[in-house]
Amino acid sequence: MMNVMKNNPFKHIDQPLKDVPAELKSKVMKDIATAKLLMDLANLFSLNVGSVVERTIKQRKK
Amino acid sequence: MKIDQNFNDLSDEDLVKAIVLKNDTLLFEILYDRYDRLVYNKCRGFSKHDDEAQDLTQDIFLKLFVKLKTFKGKSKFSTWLYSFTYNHCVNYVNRSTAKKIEKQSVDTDNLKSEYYNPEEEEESIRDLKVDKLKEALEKISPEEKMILLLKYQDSLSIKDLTEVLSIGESAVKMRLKRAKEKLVNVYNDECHEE
Repeated sequence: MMNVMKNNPFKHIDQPLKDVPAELKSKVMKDIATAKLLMDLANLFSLNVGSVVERTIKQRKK
Repeated sequence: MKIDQNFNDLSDEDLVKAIVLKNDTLLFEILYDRYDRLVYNKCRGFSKHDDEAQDLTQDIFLKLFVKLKTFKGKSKFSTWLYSFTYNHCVNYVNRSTAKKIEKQSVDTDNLKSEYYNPEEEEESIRDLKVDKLKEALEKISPEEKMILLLKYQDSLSIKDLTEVLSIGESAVKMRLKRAKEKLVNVYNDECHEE
């Protein structure tokens, strides 16, 4: 059972919360787009061993 | 628009599943909008300037996108994200100050639960003054700061802490107890210096 602490000073640190600068979102989304491209490219050129094994086993059963 | 509205209504956990399925960047934007303020303000607690906090936030969201599939849903997504954010900040602080990380290995075999008394814990924490507390938090190690913030600011339970820190309950309690003792000591030293 967790007791609820009254007057917990930790809750007042860094209050009020500061708004995030608007330009940050575009920077983040640009990073994400690049990351997605790299992840997709990596998928394209890498071998998914799990799915190869699975497909082979399925074909073998036919 | 209707599809967007549906995704906006999804729980964090379901949204994460949908993002991971296709590495969907548009859905990730929804997740960003939900948590940008929280992550940014957590980063401000670990950095000296707002610019530094912005860079940290940017890095955390990029890392989050790449590592999102490692979220297995054992705890709430927000709990997992707190820990993810703090871990990144702690690594950053340790790296940038080139401090040697104090090994905090705990011999869990010899620990007993009675070392940790939540009532006692609350009393010593409750009376701390906010500005002094903030200064004291800067003087303890980032790892100690992280566990105290997770427990007292983000209200994680002991069980949540065992999951996000991947350590046993006794180890969590001992780390909390040590971190709290150190914080209170630093806090008292500060007050005596004045």
